[in-house]
Parts: sequence; structure tokens; C-alpha cells
Amino acid sequence: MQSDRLVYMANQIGSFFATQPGTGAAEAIAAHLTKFWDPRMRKAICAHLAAGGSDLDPLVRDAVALIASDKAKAG
Amino acid sequence: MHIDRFVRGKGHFVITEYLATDERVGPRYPLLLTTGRILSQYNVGAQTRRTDNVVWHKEDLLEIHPHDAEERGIADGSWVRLASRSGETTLRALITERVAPGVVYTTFHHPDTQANVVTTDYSDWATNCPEYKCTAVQVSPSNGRSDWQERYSAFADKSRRIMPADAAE
Repeated sequence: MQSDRLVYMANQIGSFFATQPGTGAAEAIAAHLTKFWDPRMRKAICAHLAAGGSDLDPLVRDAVALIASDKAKAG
Repeated sequence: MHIDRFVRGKGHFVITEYLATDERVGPRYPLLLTTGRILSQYNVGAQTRRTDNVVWHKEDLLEIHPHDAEERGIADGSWVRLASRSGETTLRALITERVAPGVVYTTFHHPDTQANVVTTDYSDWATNCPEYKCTAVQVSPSNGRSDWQERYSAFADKSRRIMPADAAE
């Protein structure tokens, strides 16, 4: 899947969780991506962040960084 | 399973934010297309188009308000071209006040029309369900079906021929 499409979808998910009360929007976005995205899509969005992460909203950027660090821990 | 308590705990209710589609009408695509279904055909009609239900609904029609039709020189039953930023198809017009001015409607039951050639890639944030109710379109008079529809129709007719089978006994 093209990364601009993934970025669009991730930002769309981010714009929902940004409106939810309380803190932890980045964690909530990361949880949504972990639950509902295909592993290849998560891998691609992590690669996009590693390559600079252009066009990713700040919250989504944090969320993808969380996924990437979890993956690094899990090996 | 749920005696005394719910196994996964109580439901978590939240107030959800409305996130509007990014699809926009504009000067080139001033009308909104919504697609939907009618009672006598089921989904893409693979089953129901084989039956006498086609008497009620033998083709997809574009429902358009008399004001919008008059502005474009479209007569009832004439061929129209339906175009969006994604694609275009042709079908016959049905002039009716069932749709509001500015809105056009069609069904997706017939492969000769393929309404989803026109709909966009937009989808909702949570489930990625495609946005089939809101596509910016323009409608204009047409001479008849487009080339891909002619080609597809011949192919579809050929692939749906049914050979009479001999009885087993």
C-alpha cells in the first residue's frame, strides 16, 4: 500500500482520538493501529516515520514511534 | 457465559466526534451522488437479475431533480454521463422530485453501470468502510454507453450463458 494512503488513514484515525477527553491520545492511536492494521501496514508506516515521517500529524507521529519502539523491544 | 457478570466487563460508552468526509463539491462537480439499493434486487444482482425481478428494475437509473435536469437539458429516460473525480459511467435518467435539488441517486445492482467506477477512495476513520453516500459529480447529456460499458456488457452476456443440462436419469 502506498505510504501517502497510509499517512492519510493514520491522520484520519489520529483526528478522532485527538478529540477524545483525557490524555493518552498517542497510546490510543497506537492501540488502534495495533489492533486493526495489517502487520505489513504497520511496518510500512514505521518505515515512513524512520524516513522522516513527512505529513504525519504530531500525535500520529508519537503513536507510530510507540509502535516502532515496542517492535524494537519485542525484537 | 454471562451469568452474574459480563466476562469482558461493562461496555465503555464514549461521545464520538463527527469527522466529515474530505470529498467536496465544486464548480466542476457541483452535484452530490448517493448510491443505494432497492427492494427487488439484492446487492450486485448476481442472483436476482437472473429472475423476473428485472421486470421491476431492469437497469440502474440516475434519479435527478427536475430543476437540475432542466438546467442540463436532460429529458426523462435519456442517456446521461455521470462523472466524478474518480471515473465516469453512463446510464439513463429518471426525473423525479424524490431527490432534492443538488442531489442525484442511483443503485448499484447492474454491472452495465458499475456505480462504483464513480465513487471515491474515501472511507471512514474507524472501519475503513467506503464512502458510497457522498460523491461530488457532474451530470451531462450523453449519446449512449461508454466504450468500457459496451465491452464489458458483451463479456458479461457471454459469461452468463447457461447450458441446458440433461436430466441425470
